[in-house]
Amino acid sequence: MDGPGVPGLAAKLDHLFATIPQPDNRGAYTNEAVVAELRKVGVTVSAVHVSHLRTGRRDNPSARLLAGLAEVFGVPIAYFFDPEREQAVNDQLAALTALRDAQVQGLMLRSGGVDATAMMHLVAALEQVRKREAEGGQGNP
Amino acid sequence: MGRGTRDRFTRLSERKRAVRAARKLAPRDGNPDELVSNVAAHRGRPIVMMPMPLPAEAPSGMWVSTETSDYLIYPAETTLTRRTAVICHEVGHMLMGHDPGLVDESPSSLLSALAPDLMPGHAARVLARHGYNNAQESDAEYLATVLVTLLARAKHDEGWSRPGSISARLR
Repeated sequence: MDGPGVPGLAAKLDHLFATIPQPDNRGAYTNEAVVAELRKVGVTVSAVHVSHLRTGRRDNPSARLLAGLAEVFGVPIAYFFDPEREQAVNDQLAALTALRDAQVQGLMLRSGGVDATAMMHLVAALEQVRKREAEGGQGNP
Repeated sequence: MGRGTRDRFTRLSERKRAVRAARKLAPRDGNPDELVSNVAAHRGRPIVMMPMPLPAEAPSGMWVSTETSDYLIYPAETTLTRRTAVICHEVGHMLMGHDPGLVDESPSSLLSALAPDLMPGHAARVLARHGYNNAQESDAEYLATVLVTLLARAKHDEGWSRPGSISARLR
């Protein structure tokens, strides 16, 4: 059974596919891999339907399917409905992606909780590190 | 209880070892930049000093390690005292032998701080592995206190032995 349309669903869903890979270094999720994961949590859906949600041909998944997708990608279901929550998740994904892109092996930061401002500075710092590493990394400017 | 006691004993002896290193590496002129280059030479890895415009709400300092280098990120615009404290804290981690890349005990605490809205397992997939824990923070802070004191004392002593200072003039 289909629910009401979710605005911007295609972009939101596609962003999850683009940023959150499968476990055990198996690479990005395919529609088929997501279908298989959904089956494990008791949601039956076709790969074509998932593809339609990603491309925007359909934007009215059932609540069960949305909850299943949130579970597969490890995000709160509010990601799909609440712009603030969506932004928070995207900020966090950006920070994790920046850590990966700078090929950071370790990070120590002292902070009582990492809020949006702190996250922004962390991402900026990591971007600097990434640039320096790309320039050859070693010590001197 | 046995485990807790042993951990505390190990930490104490690690602190002692780190303090010995700190004594050796703290420069005579009390200059924190000099300390950093001594520590880099001691560890055999370059430390890139990276001042960033970090406001009070941002993390006070960061140590980012990559395959070849360590990056020490600290607030660009702050008092000398604050800057020194932040640098000494990160150097404290280094002297304690904290290797953020090799601490796998509680990667979820860093990930849950960085990405509280994501399931930790999923956040871990986005990057590789990370570690972070509070005992390390407290050890680093302890070392930072030692280092700040050593730098201040060195600066003071230097003042008395530099040619032209009172002691030299009295000779």
